[in-house]
Amino acid sequence: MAFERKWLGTNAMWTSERPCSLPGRGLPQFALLDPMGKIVLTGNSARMKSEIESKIDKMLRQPHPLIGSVPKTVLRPYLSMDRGQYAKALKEANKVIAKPGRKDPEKAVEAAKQAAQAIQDKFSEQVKRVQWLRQNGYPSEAYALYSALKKGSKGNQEFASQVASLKTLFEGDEWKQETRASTMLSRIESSLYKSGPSPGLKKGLQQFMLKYGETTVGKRAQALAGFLN
Amino acid sequence: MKNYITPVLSLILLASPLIAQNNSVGDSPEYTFREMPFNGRGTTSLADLRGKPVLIDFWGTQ
Repeated sequence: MAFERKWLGTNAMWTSERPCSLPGRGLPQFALLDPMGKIVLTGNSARMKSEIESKIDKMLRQPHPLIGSVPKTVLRPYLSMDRGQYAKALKEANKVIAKPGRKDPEKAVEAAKQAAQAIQDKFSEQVKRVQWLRQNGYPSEAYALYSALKKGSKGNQEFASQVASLKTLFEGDEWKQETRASTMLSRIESSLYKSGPSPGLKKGLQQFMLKYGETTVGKRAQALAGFLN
Repeated sequence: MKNYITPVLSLILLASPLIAQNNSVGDSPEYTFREMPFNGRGTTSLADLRGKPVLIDFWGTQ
């Protein structure tokens, strides 16, 4: 249904599960969550488009959600982490730990230690995400994230070493085959989202499966084929 | 708007079971998906989407 109506093809995710329940029975309904996961607006999405856009605009213009909850000196590492500058962020957190300043130094050190841990956790999580994307049929997304991590880890040996361990994921004939499959599937998906599931497209997908069925991208395409049949 | 509401989580309601407790403004719903959402790129729970605004859009299809 969603394919026929050409609703897909954006960054939206789709599911038949519902992660929250809203009062009222009318559809379409929506819940808008802020970056911390809190519901900030609900209602009918068809009637409240401008309110939704305005609320999102406001959220995106807001300062970092941690402002006010962490000492000012510790905000900088979080901002660097948000920009993907992990090495710089950790260096900044360690700097506060070493020299917390005169204003409430114990609190600053404690907050900086938490920031350092958050930076390391986030980095490890992103490394795992590269592996997940690479193993589950998203080679170009995996490579983009790998490149960003490589850039963001410069200056920190531990981070750089974790990124270096990912290098083999992007080498060899298998990698070349995956990237070819990814390019081909992107074309099929683009056509599907633009024109809907035509017989020609289904045939194209079958041919793709014959050629690239054994790749991770091919396995992802199986799910797409399942939706179309 | 499409460019910066990322991720946007759209929900197609087919036959999902009713949840007794309604959520309202101010709540922070927690949910782990039984099956990974289509186009979810590894998203397994609402917590994975923290850090960006998320629009959960409930649609009905028949």
